[in-house]
Amino acid sequence: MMLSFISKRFGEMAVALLLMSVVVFLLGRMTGDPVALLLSDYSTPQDQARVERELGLDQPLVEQYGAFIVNVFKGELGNSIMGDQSPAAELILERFPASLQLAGVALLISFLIGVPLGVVAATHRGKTLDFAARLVALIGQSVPIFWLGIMLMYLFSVRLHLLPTSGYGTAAHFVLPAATMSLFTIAAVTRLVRASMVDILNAEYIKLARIKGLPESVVIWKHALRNSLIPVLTFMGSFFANMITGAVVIETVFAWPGIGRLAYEAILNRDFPVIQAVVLFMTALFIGANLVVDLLYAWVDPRIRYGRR
Amino acid sequence: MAKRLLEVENLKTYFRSQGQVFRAIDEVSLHVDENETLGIVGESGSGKSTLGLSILRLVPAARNPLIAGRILFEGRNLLTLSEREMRSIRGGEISMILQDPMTSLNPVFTLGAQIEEAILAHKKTGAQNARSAAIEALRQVRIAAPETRVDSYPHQISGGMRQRVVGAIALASRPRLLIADEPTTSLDVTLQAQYLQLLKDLRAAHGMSLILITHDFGVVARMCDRVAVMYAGSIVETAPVREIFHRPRHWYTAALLASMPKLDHPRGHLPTIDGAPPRLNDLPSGCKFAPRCAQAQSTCFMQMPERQIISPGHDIRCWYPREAT
Repeated sequence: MMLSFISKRFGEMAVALLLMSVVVFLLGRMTGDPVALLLSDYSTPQDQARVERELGLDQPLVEQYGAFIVNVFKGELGNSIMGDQSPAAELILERFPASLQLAGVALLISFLIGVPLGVVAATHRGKTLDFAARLVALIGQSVPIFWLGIMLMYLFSVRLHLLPTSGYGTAAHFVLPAATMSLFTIAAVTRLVRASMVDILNAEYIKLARIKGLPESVVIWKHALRNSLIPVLTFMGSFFANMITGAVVIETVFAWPGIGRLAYEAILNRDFPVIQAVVLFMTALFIGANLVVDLLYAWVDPRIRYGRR
Repeated sequence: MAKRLLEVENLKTYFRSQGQVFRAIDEVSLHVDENETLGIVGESGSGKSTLGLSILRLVPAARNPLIAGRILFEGRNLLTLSEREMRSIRGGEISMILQDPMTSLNPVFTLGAQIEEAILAHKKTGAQNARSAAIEALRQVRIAAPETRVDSYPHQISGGMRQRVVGAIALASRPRLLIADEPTTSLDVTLQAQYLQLLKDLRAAHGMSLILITHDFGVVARMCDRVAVMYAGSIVETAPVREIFHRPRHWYTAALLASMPKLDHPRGHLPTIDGAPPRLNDLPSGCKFAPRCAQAQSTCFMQMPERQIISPGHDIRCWYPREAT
């Protein structure tokens, strides 16, 4: 049962990726002419025609797409048209670990702070602590990421000289970008945990847990929390997506050598093979993250684990 | 003379909300002896469940409760115990079964884990011992193949079985008193009969006392030694079960019994009690039942009658009791 579930999800994932590849391909063709960027202002129409032929840009769109998709299946995502024309796949693999580290640290922070904050808010509903937690959540969800990043950088690096302004390498380099990246998610996790916890604290099985004579801490942090995390998990996939898209901004602000900045650079240079490759890669990540969430879901909630009654 | 196990004196549980006071439990006195089953009967909203939760001091804090009076359990006043002392009472000395078996078990833990937890909360013992005790507890509530069921999750078993597991959890630490709050209301009729028999057998086997909260006089007749009838947060009549059925002295009890369907009058209208119970934030100043009582006189609207004993073990709160016929 579990196996058919996974293979079904993989099928869906393939369809989604294929559709995304069409969008990526068309967007790359619609936003400008790479040939004009590659050649100097003094090139002749003959030069342009030659380059177009070399890149296959003179073919009908459908054929170009066909060639593109065949290459994708072969693992060839095309070469960068900039610099030493390194393969896009290589660029991505080179940059990806840094992005993964940053998103991982940020996600971890979000849960370590957001979950307790949500629990405390729910158990102190209507009191000062609840108000404070909700205020944090409100701020976290409304502050623009790029502004927050710059403000943190200004305060902690420029003014207080506590942390490096930007770059990658030591643990200290993680602090500001990870803090910036996690604030939104902390807020989202806090709100989600609070909402589901408030609901669950009224459940009959919570009453029964108290009737058993369990201490309140066990009632809340074991019986109520495990159930409250189920809806939070649903959003894990979109949190992860937020971190990937947020990465474009944050990695640029903090000069973080990840795929977010790679995407930014590629767009600036209209380096369409790299843009295509990065967007496709991010899509695959996004879908993959959702698949992982579904599997986690089954782990937390036994009602899903067994497929059906 | 049987020994007193629980004695509730003048208990009041009020809820405060938006400047209003809701008198959910209003001057309730009752007692339960060892090895005895006391039924608490009343309509929905009469405060039966709040009474059960008040005894365990588990009235939801969110409702801003105010609890006064005395709840003596083996001579100790539960209302003055610390939270820690109260925890050892809950599950250990007094336990409770809730109404809805479908939502009473935590969906993310196995049956075994939920029973073991109830055992370990009151007894320091190893994981292995707790597990075999959990299997034993399942066997006691007549669950087939308890050795494999112990690892099941609540969604894998039927509603009737779930309610028996709730029973196993409640009884896991051998409490002296079990409060069962409408334990069979959501079960179908054949399961109801089975479950009641199980409760009866376990009560006798463990030598414990039972408070059975119900709205069903059929259940009362089958299970109880004595009955307390509740109306709008007050107990209006308490009597041995035979007295209640044959000689109800309070007009509300009589009206409630008259509205029970009977096999010997299969046709015609079922008698009902006119009107509706009073709102708990706007109770009448006199007898709470007076506005619906056919026999009410002017005194009834002025003042709530005190509890009076009219025969041994039989007390009522009524100015003009029915004749004992």
